[in-house]
Amino acid sequence: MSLLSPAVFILPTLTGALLLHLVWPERKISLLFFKAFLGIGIGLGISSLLYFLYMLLFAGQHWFIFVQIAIVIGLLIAVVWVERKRGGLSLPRWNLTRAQNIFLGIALVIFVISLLSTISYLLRRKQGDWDAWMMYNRSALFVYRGQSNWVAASFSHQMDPIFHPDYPLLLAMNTAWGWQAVGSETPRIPMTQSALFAIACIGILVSALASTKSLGQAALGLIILWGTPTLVNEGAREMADLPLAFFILATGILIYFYVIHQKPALIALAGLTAGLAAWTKNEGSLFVVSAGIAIAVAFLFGNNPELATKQEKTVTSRLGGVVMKFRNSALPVLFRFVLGLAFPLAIVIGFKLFLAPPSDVLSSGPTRSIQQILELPRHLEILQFLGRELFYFGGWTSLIGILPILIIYLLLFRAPVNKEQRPAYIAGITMLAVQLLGDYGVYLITPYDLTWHLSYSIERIVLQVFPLIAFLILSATQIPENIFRSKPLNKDGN
Amino acid sequence: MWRRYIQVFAIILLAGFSVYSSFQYWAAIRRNLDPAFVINDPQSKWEKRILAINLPSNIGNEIGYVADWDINPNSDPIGQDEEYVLTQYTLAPLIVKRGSGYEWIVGNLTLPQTNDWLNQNFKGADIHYYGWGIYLIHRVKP
Repeated sequence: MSLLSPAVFILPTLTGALLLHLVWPERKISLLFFKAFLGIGIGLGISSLLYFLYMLLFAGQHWFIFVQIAIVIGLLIAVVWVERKRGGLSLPRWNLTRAQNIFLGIALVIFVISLLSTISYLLRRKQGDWDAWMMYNRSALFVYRGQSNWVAASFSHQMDPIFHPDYPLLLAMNTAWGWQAVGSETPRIPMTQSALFAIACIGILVSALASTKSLGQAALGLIILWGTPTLVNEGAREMADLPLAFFILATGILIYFYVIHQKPALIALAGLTAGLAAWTKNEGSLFVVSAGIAIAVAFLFGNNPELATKQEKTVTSRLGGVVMKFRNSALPVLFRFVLGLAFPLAIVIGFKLFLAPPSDVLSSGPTRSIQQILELPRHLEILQFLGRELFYFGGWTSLIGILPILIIYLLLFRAPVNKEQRPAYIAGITMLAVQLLGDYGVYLITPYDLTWHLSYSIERIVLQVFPLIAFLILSATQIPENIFRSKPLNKDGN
Repeated sequence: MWRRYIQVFAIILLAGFSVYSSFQYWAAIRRNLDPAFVINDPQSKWEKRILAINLPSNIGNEIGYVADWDINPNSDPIGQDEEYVLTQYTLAPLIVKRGSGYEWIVGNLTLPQTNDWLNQNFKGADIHYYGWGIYLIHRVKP
């Protein structure tokens, strides 16, 4: 049983990784790692969506595992077919500098310690933490034990709203089919899923930085991200905040890669990850809006003016120029984004419209919400909590958190940003800004006691965007190899 | 040149702090790893109490839940909340509703005045006690 539980997640991981390789057959070694780690999250997302559809159609029947096996076999055949004419994979020669060796060594120490912390925490609280019992694992129990009656039981309006039956089902569906696959309600299934998301989150950050910057910067990414106790802690709590952080980070990185590689599939994948964010947690639906706005803004205002089309240059009115540019630059990118978003978002919308009870956040009603928005002390309290959290976030020291340290790091190590890469940063910063503004709005209209709501959730709100902040800062700073070397490295790392 | 020294110092400091905070966190987790520690695995501990209840098979989809907070609204709200959540978790897919207006009710009652309160509010009901303050109350239909 102990090995079977992690093993059931091999199928969705393979599904995700193979699907990614099929739509983006890049073979650079760091990108293969990136696809493997991203494949964990995308695979878990897809398997959850499929199991949700399966349970709507075939509740009470136990052959979902065969659906997964068939998908993996189909994807494997497709990948082998695509790869058959390409030569063997050539591994890079590892000529590591002394600085790289030191940074990789430190990263390895932190990886091992933090992994031990995660495992220790998981073993100590096998069923996760409060929100896991209240929402995600509880919801999985309703699906698994309810079987053919799961819809009526899971979304009953009789259920106490504190159990949030309106919450999306990514984690719950995976836990339920995992139990189905191993034939028992073992806590190892949600434990493994939680740990997988934690490792995948670190993995995509590290492999993306290894691809776009250097091995040293990738190691530094791990040192910062998994040296942050709050993040390590969340990775073991079996809650949805770290999976959401994973999908937010993945969307940001995929947009970044789209700007660099100009492969349309990447922006569709960004749409998919944004949609999976919406299937993970209610804040994920806000993130879909954030990502959409970010893409529109980035490709409208961020493109290199030298690349503007002749048609755009000849348009005399300013508004006409903006409209033309939106049509030519932003709209095609948005279209591909929506294409990737369509499947998960359709399920989220269907779930919200036809199954889930109304969300408690909007239960204040318009009149009371407007009254709350107009109360100045509420604004001050939210800003005070948010400011404090941004300053102390991470559990590094009691004096200062990781975010101000990263800002100081950016000021000390900032590197010039290529004009071509500007849309990626504009997209990332816009996503973060809109997301935090949306969260701010939710606090304004919350029906709960504001102080309680802020104390209970503000750390996790910052956690959701922290990996993307770290990625953007590390992407915009010098690589450590250059700091510890008299002659800067060239593009090939020599 | 000075900028470079500052950069080298800053990067070493950053890596050092990260290692330190990782060790600190791991040490804190290890300290609390004792399974007897009160916050460890509360779900399993609570499950043992709730699963001791002998629920009949024809109980329906919903069950009531009364606890110390119904006797004294000020009694440990966080602990009461946690036990309610864990009860719902354990009894899923039964829906556990706060209140006494149900045929079957789980009681989680530990205050000294429990017996008086039960006699006052559940006259004529079948009441079974399972230890640890856990009751199953069956309102017998007239």
